[in-house]
Amino acid sequence: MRVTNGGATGIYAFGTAFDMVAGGRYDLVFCVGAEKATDCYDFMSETQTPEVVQTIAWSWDPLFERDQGATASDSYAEVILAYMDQYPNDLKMAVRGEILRIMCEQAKNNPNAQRRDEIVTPERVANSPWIIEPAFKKLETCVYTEGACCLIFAAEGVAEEICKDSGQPPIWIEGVGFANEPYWWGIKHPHKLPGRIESDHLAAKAAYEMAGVGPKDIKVVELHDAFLPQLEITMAEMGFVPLGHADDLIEKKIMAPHGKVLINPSGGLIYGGHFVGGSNMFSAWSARRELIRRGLDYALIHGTGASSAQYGGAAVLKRGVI
Amino acid sequence: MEKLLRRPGDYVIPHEAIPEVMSRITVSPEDKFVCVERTEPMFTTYWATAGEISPFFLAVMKEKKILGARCPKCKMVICPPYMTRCPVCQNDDYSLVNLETGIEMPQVGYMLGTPPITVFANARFARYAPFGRGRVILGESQSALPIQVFTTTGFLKPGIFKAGTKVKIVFRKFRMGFSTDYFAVPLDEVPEKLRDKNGLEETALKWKSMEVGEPQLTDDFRKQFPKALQAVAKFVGAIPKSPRAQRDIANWTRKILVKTGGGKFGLLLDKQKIKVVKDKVPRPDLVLVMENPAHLIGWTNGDSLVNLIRTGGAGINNLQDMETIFKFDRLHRSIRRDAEERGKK
Repeated sequence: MRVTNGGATGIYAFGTAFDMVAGGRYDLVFCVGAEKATDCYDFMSETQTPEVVQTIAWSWDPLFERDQGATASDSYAEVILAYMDQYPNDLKMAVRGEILRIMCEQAKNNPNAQRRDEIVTPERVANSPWIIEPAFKKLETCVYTEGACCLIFAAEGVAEEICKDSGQPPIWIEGVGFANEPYWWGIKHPHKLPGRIESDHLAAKAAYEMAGVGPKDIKVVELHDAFLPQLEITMAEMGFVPLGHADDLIEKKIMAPHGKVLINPSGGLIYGGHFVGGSNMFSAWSARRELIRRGLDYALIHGTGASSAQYGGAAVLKRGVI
Repeated sequence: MEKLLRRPGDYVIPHEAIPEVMSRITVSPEDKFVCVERTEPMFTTYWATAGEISPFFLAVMKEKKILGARCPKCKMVICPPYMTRCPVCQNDDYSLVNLETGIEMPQVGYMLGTPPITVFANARFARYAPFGRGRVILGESQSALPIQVFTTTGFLKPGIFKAGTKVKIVFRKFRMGFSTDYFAVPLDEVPEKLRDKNGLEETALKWKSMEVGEPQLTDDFRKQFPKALQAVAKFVGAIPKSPRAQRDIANWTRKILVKTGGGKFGLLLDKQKIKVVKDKVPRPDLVLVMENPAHLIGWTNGDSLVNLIRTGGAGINNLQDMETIFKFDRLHRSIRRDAEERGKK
């Protein structure tokens, strides 16, 4: 089975592997996510990045959008700007800088993070150049990269045997949820609504309901942070803070180390690196690691993708015992 | 790093293999349906048809009209006409109602959201940066038309377009059946007598370009200039010690004249180095102008020249060469990271 679903490929492959085991078709599924796309080369700028960005941009509507210069970055910027239209006092730069500082520190504990040697301060974030103005700056952007990750999904019975052999506790998938929004934006449904990432909201809601938990039970979140302001919006959509008050993550001391919720202990995609085909699996790896190391009960992993963040996926993980 | 070997003038994708941007109108032999076909920018050699969406682009090309579609059952209007069946009725009762096409839309609307301004663009659009792209609601349409946004006042800055900004649809003089044949400008930038005119062409508006004048020389700036020049010389002198910075400017050659309110100097970018010259730079490729030379010290400390240009603190004589400024903005981080790594060792 091959799964490709834009930026959310990792979480959708995760969901597919889960379905294969939970549906009873297989006892054991080996799920591999990989990315190899930085071979592109732009002859005009004599660098790789613009052509890599262009390659991703081919996925836009070929008739109405592709020719207008649409990119993955500006599609997320549209979402962020529309949110800022509705909530102009949220997503303050000082808060964004502090979240980035924390994630940068956290990346140092991740041996696989690609930007673990950097020092990022709120001041450096504020002074970095705009990528899409006024949505986000260079230091608020994930690092598109190459990499691979694999996860083993095992049915009850088989999982315990593997864990006895390895001496590691199992991590149970208690809930999964996926939601795709409409492609076309508009003023009401069935169009994508400005200021929202409903895919994230619906996916997380479905995962919570299946697991029988809520945001208050989650102590580790590994979130697909394509861009920092989107991380804040997604945290609001997933119920950790109210929409319009995403800055509460810092201002009301919700995010660790100020608060109790550990957000992107891997450094996220911004510091860990975004290898699109496997990033969300890397998130699952990190969530498992933190649940075991810290003795916590529940974690939430999240993936987003496609233009305008239309694809959303989430899964609730629970630490088991050997 | 091993020496880079290259054969001058040779490219992996030869230029003759990259198709020109073209379009043509064809008639299907079976049902006589008129289609717009265009060459695709994916460097393929075949023509791509706009299929059932062709009437939209034909109306743009030939009549300077924007068409939408309306459901005869629930009366919902969409623009662009991205579907042929009504998604609302299908959702409500699973009925497949064909939309009425060819609904002419008004050419004044409003922005659904604040459009993003792309500063760091992808390969195909780098020469247009900074540019804006957003979505406009026309008439009773429930969906928004994706559209490029321009200002007649020069550099596109935040605040010109916001959610709710009233805009006018303007058509290119030369239209080829692409979604770039039309764009939006703020309605208040359109002369009143033209606001109600349908099919308004770009040539009917007055366009200002970015003006880069001579900086005003002052005693204060003259005093600051030597310090700024020294900072720049020290900064670019660190490039040979930074592999990352050398990569940032690899294969890039520019003669840049920097004019400030305290004096002028040149930056010669070649062979992965930047040399500061105090002499006059004959026929520069790029001119960077700023009043306050202290901005240059800021740049050597990590401030962004792109931000400076964006906010009007500096200007360049050729906006299509923003790529050089992007490269300059990368240098500080690269030098710093290499220095930090050297420090650890």
